Amino acid sequence: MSATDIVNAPSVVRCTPQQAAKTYAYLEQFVDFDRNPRATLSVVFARSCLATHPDFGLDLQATAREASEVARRTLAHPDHARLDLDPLLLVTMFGAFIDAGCDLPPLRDLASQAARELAPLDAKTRSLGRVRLIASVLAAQGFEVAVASRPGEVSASVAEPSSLLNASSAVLGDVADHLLADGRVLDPDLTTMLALTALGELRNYRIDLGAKLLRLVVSHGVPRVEAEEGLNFVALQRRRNGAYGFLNPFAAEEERQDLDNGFFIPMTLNAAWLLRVEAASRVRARAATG
Amino acid sequence: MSELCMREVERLITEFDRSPRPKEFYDLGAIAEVLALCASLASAQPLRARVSVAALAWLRAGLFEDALFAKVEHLYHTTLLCYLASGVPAYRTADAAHAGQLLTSGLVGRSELPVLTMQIVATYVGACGIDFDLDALGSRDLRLVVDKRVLRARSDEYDILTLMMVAQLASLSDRFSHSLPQIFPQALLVQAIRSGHLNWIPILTLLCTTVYGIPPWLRRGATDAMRRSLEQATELLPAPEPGSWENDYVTRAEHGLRVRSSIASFALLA
Repeated sequence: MSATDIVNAPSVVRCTPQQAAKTYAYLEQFVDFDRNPRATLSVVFARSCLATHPDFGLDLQATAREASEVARRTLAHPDHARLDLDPLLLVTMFGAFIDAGCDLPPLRDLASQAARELAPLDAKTRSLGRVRLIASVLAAQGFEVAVASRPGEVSASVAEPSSLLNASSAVLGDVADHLLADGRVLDPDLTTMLALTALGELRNYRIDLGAKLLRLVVSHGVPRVEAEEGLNFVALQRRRNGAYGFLNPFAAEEERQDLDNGFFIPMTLNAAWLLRVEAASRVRARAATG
Repeated sequence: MSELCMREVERLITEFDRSPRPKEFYDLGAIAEVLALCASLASAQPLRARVSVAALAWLRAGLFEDALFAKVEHLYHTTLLCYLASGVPAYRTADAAHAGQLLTSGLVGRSELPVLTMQIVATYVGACGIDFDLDALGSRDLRLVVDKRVLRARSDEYDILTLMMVAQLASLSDRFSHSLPQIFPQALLVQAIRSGHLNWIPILTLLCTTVYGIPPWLRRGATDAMRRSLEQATELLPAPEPGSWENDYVTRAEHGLRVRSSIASFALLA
């Protein structure tokens, strides 16, 4: 598919500012660090993705306060590892606020702490995709962090996309982290393979891996209509209350417990993250072409 | 009788409000069928009004979007209930806008099989020398229609049947071969390989190889997957494992689906 095909493809309105505002408001009701620190980070992260999106015009200060509070409470916790907060979300959120011209001291302190905690890790751990990705996000924000080099077996597998077709979700997720950490432009075959795989994962509602692959393809891949359809798929999951995700209304009662935390919030987080990545990618492309 | 009917409708509405289940949904849909036709019958107005008000509440609660998303079969009854809801004075067009967007975007409520069936019948009949003109049906853009299936969650045997029918049309007539779907067959093949769907891999590989197109890396991956499955096989490839709603379809032709897939596999690897 050429770029022309993508332009000519019927468009889906991915998210209007009004729709983003509704999602932003939907998420706000779950901001409660005392009740659930991990879920609160997810929600504040998603709100920060929307608030720092260049087209939505949302209230950045409200989310900045929430993010600062999450960071303050985490730093004050006697054993913050027990909070089980995702460091990737924390450092990515820090970067998003910096990009939006908003340096939040508590979040910076937390990012500094994350950078310090990387230093003593052994070489094997530092070469894991996820650790490399966190290190690369921190390095991009000016922290003195060494990003380990990509393992040889990962380089070999990305050179032959067919070898990744049978990779487990864990392996594929790790490869995606490596490629995100590297930040290089993906070649066309790898882009298509990852975009098609993302579509398959999304269609089966394995959202975390599908959305991660899509973020990778959108931010570092060559233009592909398969990736555009992946974005359309996620956009069309939007519910009238602003959350994302559809489910069988006739499912058994036990499958319908705590749907917000178990289903809608993770889906909404990934949708908001994708929207922001797509916008950032668009801004970069515009800047590159002058 | 009208009191009995009202009690029964009331019971169904209460049951459905308490816990939405397909049984009540289809019951209410059947009732809506007749109520939709009763606009001019005064005796039916209380019932019609009761169901209409309940339907508006379900519409506003977002239940119909979930129903539409869950199964294409829900579309008919959902549409009927939406139509009844639209007769309530409090109804506003915005109440149905979200469900409407799902429909117009092609995410839900599309079934390509009827038109494909007609196209393939017309094409085969044409090959027998009989003129069977479908006019506008024949000019639909199959690429767009089929590729948009990729926006729907889940996949089933009807996806394979759709691709099979389009492939047959393309192989029968140039009219269909200039604009063929590509994303959907390739996405399904990648899904099949990743989920180890032994019945689908050969069929989709055959379709992509002979009709829809397949990049070399995907052909290599599919060939490896087929080789592995044939090395383990001591009999025909397994039948697809149907989901609940396609059970009849798969059961009907289970052995044929196994033979079909096995033929594709050895034909491609030969």
